Amino acid sequence: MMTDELFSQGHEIYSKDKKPLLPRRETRESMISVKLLSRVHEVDTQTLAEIHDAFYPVVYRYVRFRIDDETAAEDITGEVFMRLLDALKGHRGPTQNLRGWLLGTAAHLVVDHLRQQYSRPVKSLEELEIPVDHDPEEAASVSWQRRQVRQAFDQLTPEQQHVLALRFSGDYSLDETAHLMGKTIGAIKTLQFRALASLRRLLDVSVQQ
Amino acid sequence: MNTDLFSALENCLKKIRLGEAIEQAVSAYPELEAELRPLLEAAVTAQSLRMSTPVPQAAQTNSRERFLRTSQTASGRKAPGLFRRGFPGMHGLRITYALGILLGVLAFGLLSTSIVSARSLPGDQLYPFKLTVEKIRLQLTWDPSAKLALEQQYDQERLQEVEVLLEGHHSAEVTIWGVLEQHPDRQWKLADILLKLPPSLPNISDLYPGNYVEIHGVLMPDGTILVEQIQDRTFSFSGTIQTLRPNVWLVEKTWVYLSERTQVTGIPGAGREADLTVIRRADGSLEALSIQVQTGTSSSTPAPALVVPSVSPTREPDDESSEDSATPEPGSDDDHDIGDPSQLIDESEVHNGTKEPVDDDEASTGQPEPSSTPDETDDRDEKEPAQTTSTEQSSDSEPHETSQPGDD
Repeated sequence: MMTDELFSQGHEIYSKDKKPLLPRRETRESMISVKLLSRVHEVDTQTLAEIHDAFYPVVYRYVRFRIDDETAAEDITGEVFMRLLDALKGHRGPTQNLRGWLLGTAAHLVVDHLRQQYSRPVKSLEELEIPVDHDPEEAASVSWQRRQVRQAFDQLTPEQQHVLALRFSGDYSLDETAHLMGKTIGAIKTLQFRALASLRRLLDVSVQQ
Repeated sequence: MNTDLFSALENCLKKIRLGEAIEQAVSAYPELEAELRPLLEAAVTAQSLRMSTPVPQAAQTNSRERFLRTSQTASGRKAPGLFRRGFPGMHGLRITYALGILLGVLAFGLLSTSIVSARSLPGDQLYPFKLTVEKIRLQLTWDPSAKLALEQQYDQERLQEVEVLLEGHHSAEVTIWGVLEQHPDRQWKLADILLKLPPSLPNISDLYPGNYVEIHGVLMPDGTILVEQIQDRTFSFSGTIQTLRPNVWLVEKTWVYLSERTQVTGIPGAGREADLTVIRRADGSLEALSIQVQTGTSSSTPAPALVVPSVSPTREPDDESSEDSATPEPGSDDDHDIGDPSQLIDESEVHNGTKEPVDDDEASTGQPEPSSTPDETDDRDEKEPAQTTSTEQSSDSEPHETSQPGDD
């Protein structure tokens, strides 16, 4: 079975002594990163196209998890790759962790976007998107719940939002999350615990209101 | 406890991710269920924020096109070809080589230009470059005596340039320096070059034979210079005061005379730093126009007393002392080596009456030094004279302290 097929089926790769070499996503994207990073500074079209194709979905899902605005998520994701070009031009581009660099840049852009959003009026319930292929009443209920969760999520600190987005938007493992955030696994466990506790508290407050 | 809770939470999250319900996941940790359940419910709620909608293909395609289009523009701006192609993996090395080559070309260009410009004359295109090179060389020369010698050398070169122009009967705008002479026919000359001084010159009445002056004017085809500006040639330098005598100081191995027009600010003392503006006299000696002694740099060890030459104030090279001084060492029967500032106090009334002592009693009644620290004041009281003023001050024996304008 080819490696890519293993990945697509959710398997992990094991060494001969049955110890996983790397979590599956880490292995796959690390392979892409290693391959592309060796050529990324050449800034040739082929390499850049591969980078965009491989990481656009990763970045978009992360951004979309953190902000409830499809258009803004598309803009931010596109901007992340433009920032990558700027960094490569200035020889400040990633050298070891391309995915971490992209997601870190996305996190900064999301925070900037949210800061601007806080100065604007909150969307009214009528403005929220309601899928047309669902029962309107059910769809309205789902949207209301999502809105409650979104409002609670938005009140978390940027770092708490970041860790939950990594863990739940892309199912990154503790190891991967620690690697992406540049922290220890213990620090990620603590941060995640506090983020979930805060989210739960905020949701309870929201329901009571 | 926390470690257990964190680990239990992580295990439960893994199970939920694999499809287990919260009830099943927490069943493995009954003692932690009360704490785990709300956290897992929050986690499940948070997962609801994950969009089931696929990544928008149109947006991805647009982003890809923009990304690649911009990259081509960007790489075009990044000096393609020599620096970016042909030697993969050697980007940094290429830049270093390129910079090295560039610097080499620049250095060669500057060197060859300075060599060619060295022969240029006033009016030539390269002449300003020659002057700039000289100015840079002067700025890079820190030793005052060497700097003065270099300036004198440049003064001689200016005169030689004018002589070359004179031979060719050229006309050019020139700036020269030298000793002003007045011949019996009342005509002014500098290095045997006849000067035409318009009566409108503002300081024409201040001209004296023997003045070392700077002249800016136009060299006429008839070999005269029509003077547009004339002024004393001044030199500026800084250094440590090594020896003080009533009318002459040794500063950074350079003897400098004080005269009636010398303005001294600050507290003179051996070992102190001073900024000087001097002019060159006809005999080659230097006369100080202003001496600004810096405060707070007094040395605890006075400079070593040098051999006192017994020569007249006029220029008389002394072979024995020439190694220590770039200018002729002064000396007279009245001169005393007062490398020890306390001697200056004792002697000051004899000369000019400007460097007056301040003893303990006087210090208690005199004006305090505005810029002196208490320590400096104490030091001054013990060793040094009061702040001096212009040497034009009378020989009034009454103790007094006056400040120069602008002397804070």
